Amino acid sequence: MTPKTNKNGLTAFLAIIRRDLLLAYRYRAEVINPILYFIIIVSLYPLAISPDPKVLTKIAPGIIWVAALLASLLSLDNLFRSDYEDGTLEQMLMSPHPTGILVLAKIVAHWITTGLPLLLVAPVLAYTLHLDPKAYSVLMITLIIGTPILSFVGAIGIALTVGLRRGGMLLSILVLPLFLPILVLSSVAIQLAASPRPAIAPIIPGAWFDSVVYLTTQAPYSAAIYTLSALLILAITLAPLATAAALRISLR
Amino acid sequence: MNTLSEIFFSGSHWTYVWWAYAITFIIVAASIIIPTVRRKKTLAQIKRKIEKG
Amino acid sequence: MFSSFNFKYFIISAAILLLLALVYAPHSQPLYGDPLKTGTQTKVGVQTEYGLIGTDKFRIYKSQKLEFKYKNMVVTEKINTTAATTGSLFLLTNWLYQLFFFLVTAIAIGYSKPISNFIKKTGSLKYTYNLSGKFIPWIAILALLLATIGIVDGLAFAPTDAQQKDSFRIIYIHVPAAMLCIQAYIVMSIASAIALIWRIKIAEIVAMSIAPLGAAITAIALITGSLWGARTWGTWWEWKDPRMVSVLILFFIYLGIMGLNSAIEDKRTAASATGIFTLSAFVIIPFIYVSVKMFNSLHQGSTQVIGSSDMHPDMARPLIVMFFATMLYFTFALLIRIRGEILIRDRKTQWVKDIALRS
Repeated sequence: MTPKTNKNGLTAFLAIIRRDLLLAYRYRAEVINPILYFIIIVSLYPLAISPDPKVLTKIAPGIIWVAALLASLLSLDNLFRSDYEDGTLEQMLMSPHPTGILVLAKIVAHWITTGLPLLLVAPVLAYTLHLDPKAYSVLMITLIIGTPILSFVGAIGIALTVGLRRGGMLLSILVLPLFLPILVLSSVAIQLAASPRPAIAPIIPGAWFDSVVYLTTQAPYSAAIYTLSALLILAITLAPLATAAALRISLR
Repeated sequence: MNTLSEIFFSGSHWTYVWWAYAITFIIVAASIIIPTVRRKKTLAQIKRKIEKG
Repeated sequence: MFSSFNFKYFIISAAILLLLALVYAPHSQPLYGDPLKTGTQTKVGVQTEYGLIGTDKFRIYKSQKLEFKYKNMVVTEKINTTAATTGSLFLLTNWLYQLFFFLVTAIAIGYSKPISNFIKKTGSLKYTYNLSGKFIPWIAILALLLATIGIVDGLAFAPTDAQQKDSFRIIYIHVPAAMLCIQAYIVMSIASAIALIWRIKIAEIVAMSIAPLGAAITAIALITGSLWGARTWGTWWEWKDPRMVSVLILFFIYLGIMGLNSAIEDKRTAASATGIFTLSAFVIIPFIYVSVKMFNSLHQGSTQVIGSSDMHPDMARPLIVMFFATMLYFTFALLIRIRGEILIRDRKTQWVKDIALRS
């Protein structure tokens, strides 16, 4: 019989988010790590390929998204690792609240500590990569929609490999094929936004909702952004269930 | 040998066809032979264990 | 055979399926060609050194010489698609095919009690091992026979294509392999789902055995596809083609499943973990189909070789034979692996020891 509590799932959800954010705040030196990964990986490409601005403009969307992918992959390990090692994960699985809700809370907190900083750094890096100014808004949109998908899908992978000895390489092999559609969609969207296109004809000159109308109806990249949003909703609804099931199996 | 190199390396349309069929044949044969050999080895292993007592 | 036939189930399911057929029939496409209508079909496109590139097709029912310019594209080809004149074996119109399929389904539903008894019996590993042992030689012989017929027919008797000369013959391996690798993944997902929900051992064994086979077949599809592209498109690998890239992602997913299986020691835990990953990665299958439409609308100027959906029947006939041959080969190779895995898992039981002593 599950013990009766007078706290509901929402309280548990918020409690876990609060706990993880508090832990991240206590070890705030570690929050800088994903940002550093991101910056270093982005700076590898101009050094390796060519610092020529014309070349960099064309490949800037890809560079930023590949770097976001790799930084997300490298930071996935601290989603469940510390809780697995001190036994908190088992306690979470045994709690009366649905495991999916608790896992959702952990993933959201993880995104706030690792994905959100990338969003703040990305425009600066895009500027150094000479990204076309038209594409900045689409860059931010794809990052805002795409990085949570990376966290959710990566959570399934890390839940499967958290108990294994050499799980790091296996995690990359499992999770990167699932990341590839997101990578392709996002960089295609940003490239289309950066390519020459006719100026928006405003409905009411200067109104803010012109850009929204343009984005949702006329933009060449709207299909990609719709697909990304659909993938995000799919990930939010189904990934916590898969992660919870995977955690139960890993902790057996 | 002369005709084989003619078939496989001449660069005509048929070359690609023969390469494709040859690679497919190798992979198909491997996917049949390897499990069969493994099954026979498993049986032999079990037999050895029984006879060892 | 007739005593266990549930007539009530048969009538109800046949009625429902016939209703579905009536609703669906106006939208169905012919199996290939259009046997009821003869005439010429013209493809409109741009003639390049890689063949005709374009997406519009017009159907003309008289023989006409059609030449006009449509948005800088030039009509260059007329193809005859009369399907009724070659004496091929597969002259089924679509609604007959549908009726046959639905009839078989209704009969299967009528036999649902014996079928469910049979499925329950396969839960015993010994029964599955012995039953598959009886069928495996026949499946192998049939697969070999059909493969020989299909390959000989495809290599020697199918007419040479006008644009692609003889390199189109790779299609007789490439298309069945591509369809098979997706079907294999779907079967693996279903088996994994059954293994996760009901913890049935044979389902775990099936799911575990399909992974390496699926990887091999995806490799065949990718290699033959790139060989075909090397001749027709000029490049060995075309990153712009979304279907090629999606099948590459599928290949990596197969490899990941194999890696995850071997990384966990306990076989039942490994099967559950792999099952979760297989079901999570299932999204790639619709992505393969959706990405083609999506990326051709995104990349407005991308080239797309016309799919040969209206093939000459002499070219299509070996393809259909190869479909069946590859499916039988897949069943054969899968059964060998399943039998091997059953022996490993049940190695301590008496019936396995008897078989080992007898061998």
